[in-house]
Amino acid sequence: MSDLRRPEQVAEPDTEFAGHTEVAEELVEPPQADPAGTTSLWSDAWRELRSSPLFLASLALVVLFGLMAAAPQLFTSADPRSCVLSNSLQRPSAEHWFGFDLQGCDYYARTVYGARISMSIGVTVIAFAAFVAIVLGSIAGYFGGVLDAVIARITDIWFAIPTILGGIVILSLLGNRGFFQVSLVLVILGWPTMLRLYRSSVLSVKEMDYVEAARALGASDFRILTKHILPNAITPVIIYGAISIGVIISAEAALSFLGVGLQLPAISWGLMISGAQTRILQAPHLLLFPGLFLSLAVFGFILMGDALRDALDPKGR
Amino acid sequence: MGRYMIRRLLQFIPVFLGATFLIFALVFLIPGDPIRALSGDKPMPPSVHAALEERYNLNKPFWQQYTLYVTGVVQGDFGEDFRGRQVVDIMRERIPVTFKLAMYAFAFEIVIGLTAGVMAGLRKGGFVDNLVRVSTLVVISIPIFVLGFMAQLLIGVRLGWLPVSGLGAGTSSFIMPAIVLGSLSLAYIARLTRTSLAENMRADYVRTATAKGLKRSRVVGVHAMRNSMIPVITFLGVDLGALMGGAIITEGIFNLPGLGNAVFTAVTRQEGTVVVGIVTFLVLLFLLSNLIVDVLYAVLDPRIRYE
Amino acid sequence: MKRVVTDAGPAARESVEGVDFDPNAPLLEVTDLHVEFRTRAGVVKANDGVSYQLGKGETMAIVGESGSGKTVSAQAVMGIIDTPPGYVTNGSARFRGVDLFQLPESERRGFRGEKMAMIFQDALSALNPVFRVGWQIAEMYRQHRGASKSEARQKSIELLDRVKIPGAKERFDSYPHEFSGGMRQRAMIAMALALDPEVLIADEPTTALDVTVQAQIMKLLADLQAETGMGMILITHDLAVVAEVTDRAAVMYAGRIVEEGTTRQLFKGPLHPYTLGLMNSIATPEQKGTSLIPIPGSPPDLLHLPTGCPFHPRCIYAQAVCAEVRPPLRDLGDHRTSACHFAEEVAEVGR
Repeated sequence: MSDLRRPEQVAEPDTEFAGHTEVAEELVEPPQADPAGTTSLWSDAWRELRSSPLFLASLALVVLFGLMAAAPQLFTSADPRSCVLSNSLQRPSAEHWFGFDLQGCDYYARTVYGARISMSIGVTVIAFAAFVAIVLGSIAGYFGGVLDAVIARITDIWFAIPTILGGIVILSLLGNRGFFQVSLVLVILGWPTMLRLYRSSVLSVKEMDYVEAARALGASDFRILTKHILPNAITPVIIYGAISIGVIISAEAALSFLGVGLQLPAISWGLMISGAQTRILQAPHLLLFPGLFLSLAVFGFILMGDALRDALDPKGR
Repeated sequence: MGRYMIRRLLQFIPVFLGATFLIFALVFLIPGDPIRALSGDKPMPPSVHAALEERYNLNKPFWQQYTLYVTGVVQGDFGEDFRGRQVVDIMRERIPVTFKLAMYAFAFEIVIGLTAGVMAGLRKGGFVDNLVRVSTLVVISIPIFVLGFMAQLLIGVRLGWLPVSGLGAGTSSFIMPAIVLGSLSLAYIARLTRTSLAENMRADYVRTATAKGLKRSRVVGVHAMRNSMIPVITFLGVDLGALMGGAIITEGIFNLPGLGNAVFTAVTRQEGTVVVGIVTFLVLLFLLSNLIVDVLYAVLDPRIRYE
Repeated sequence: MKRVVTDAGPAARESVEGVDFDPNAPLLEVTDLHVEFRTRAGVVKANDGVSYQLGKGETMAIVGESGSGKTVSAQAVMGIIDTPPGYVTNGSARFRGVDLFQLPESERRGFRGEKMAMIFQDALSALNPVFRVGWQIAEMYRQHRGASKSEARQKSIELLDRVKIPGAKERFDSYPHEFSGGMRQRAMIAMALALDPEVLIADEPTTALDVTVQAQIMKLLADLQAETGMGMILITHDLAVVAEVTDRAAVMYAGRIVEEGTTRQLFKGPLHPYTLGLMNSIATPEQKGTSLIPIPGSPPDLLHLPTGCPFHPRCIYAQAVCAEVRPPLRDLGDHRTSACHFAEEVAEVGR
């Protein structure tokens, strides 16, 4: 067996001859040359995303709210914390588009400034949850055995506790609740789904020939996990992550709305809606505007995740 | 099948113990004196304090408290609150409201969600499909409390079609809350059904069914649907438990005296035993519905039984 | 739930509701079949003017690489192409004179299973994983003939017996994943034969099986064909099977038939370089010691077909004209056709 010629140089009559069902897509797409398949997957996906109106809309929303979070001054010159009580509960007008809240603060400014906390909690929580999920998922999926079983049982237990319920129980016990506490609790409650995703992704990538090859060449487990498995296994986590940022933003707002999340004087959409709930009849604008911004921000991320999945997971089409 | 069931049951026990332990630990290990909190600012005689501690096992080591508690739960005793009321009685009073709400929501999401999902999945890329795709994303994006208030404001107040809040109007009091509660899951069901059906419609065995000369209604309704329903059923099982737990916000907005409302009141009043009791019950419910799903799963997919 | 089906019973089997058969027409006659797949990347002409005939009791092979359009042409005849992306854009498929493409779907459905049946390559994915094998066979009797549950069961067990599944009675209640590959294919054959179809299309029925099992399945198919006198189309890339069981063979390349003749003629002297290449690339005991000659290059990309003759980049006989003019399928006498500019020269080489 000293035939070292590359397979494509050996013209085989039976190449691709063992019949596949002749589905049109298979006829069109040539086999991927890149052994890892990642580069072409992402560049194909990017080509498709660039022309997807849904993706472009989601990108616009995410960039808009990102900018709002980073530099609210660009959107409003008013100070959300300088309030004049005589303006209390004024309806929207030409100068003050969103009207005023109970304390007589400019509601547009407050709504714009509310983006910061939502966006930063969403991104922070998902970044940390994804980190935990990737570390534990790598261990569980790659090494398997007892570690895998233990991690699986722990995730089962976590899954049994609904996020909002768990959040209420934990947060209500903390006297002082700020960005850090709320984020921490959401990370604690949020990692199991991602872990399951990443674990199963690792399990399938682990069996690939290039991983076997790397192992045969003596690469360390750490190197295999970071260089070979991670880039190929991370796609589902990225898709789910985009959607989850939206979900986390929504969860933070819900907790703040229930009074167990952020506390005043923090400016948060959830808190604003919470403050509006007793006055929805006299001042519906207090509910409408933060509700609209909150929904749009969540929509942006969820739509982005959906468009990413369409582009990255050809099976789902 | 028998072995599969036994394995599932055996897996259920450690998860149940772990979850209850987690809740118990969270509520009781975090510093604070629930008895002191009960009496507010008034000083409490040390003898009364000690008696209360004794009564609620608070003077015992933590693991013993937990063991006593779980033993109680297994026998249907969820402890009592600090006013001496049985937590089971509180639950008994609240469960019918939450159960009714969850059932209405469940029925609503299944009927509408499945219909939308099937219509979209059968004509993937068509008008209905795109409509379902985008509208479900919109529904998923609107937080439940925003949706709840909007519904209250529009349907309840402006249009006056349905009662705004409370239980006063009997069954019709449940309609709006149920729709609000079920809307998120509805969107998930529709999307899941759509993807799953569209995938199965391309499966070889569906082509075989067509080649057998079966009517299209039978090809779709029997051959494709049976397989497509497997992931949907899984979701439904998880969702049934989640609906009961998720009712907390809906019950708050619509002022319905259910379990969620009780948990929330207990949390604000720091009534640990009530919180732990109800949350334990909800978790138990959630795990049980998962167990039922596992059984259904094995019934629907014979391959699972031999795993 | 007893169903009353109008076309039930042996007497009604001769005619599908409201359809008049032409007694003099061939069993199956496919003419100028065009099938397109409209994909994101462009339109693929999977079948580009395919014509063939199948007579009663005849076995015909359609040979070609994957992507040559052989399965697509069979699916078009059965009416089971996924639409979208696949569309039959032109041509006819006449079953005893009746053009299937002109029938409304409700009438056409009556042909499937009753008049023509198909067995697929991978029985594991072609059988529904969540239903019992017996149930899936019995469904044919239940749905087409309105048979009662016990009657359908009885007939299905007989059928399982006929395709030589041991312990048919017990196996009736098994699921597809509990069967071996060969047994699954037998069950698939039983299902196809349930209603005594007149045309059986077998799409690579043995590709997914072990070599020993392949031979058993082919023998079973050949026996059943001889027994029932149905016409059979065997889609395959296995020339050994073609030589063994078929009367005639059509070779497909890039969506067209490039050569057709009796199996004997084809093996004796191919008239197309592609057929010649296929013959030379299989191992036969007589050739022991001599080396196999593979066809150079790889199957064409159907989105970007070469100009002229689609085979010319891989053809060792190609001349300048081959890159410019697409050769038509020419009648070369003796019921043989070839789509090569130099068919006569190839015939010399093949000899």
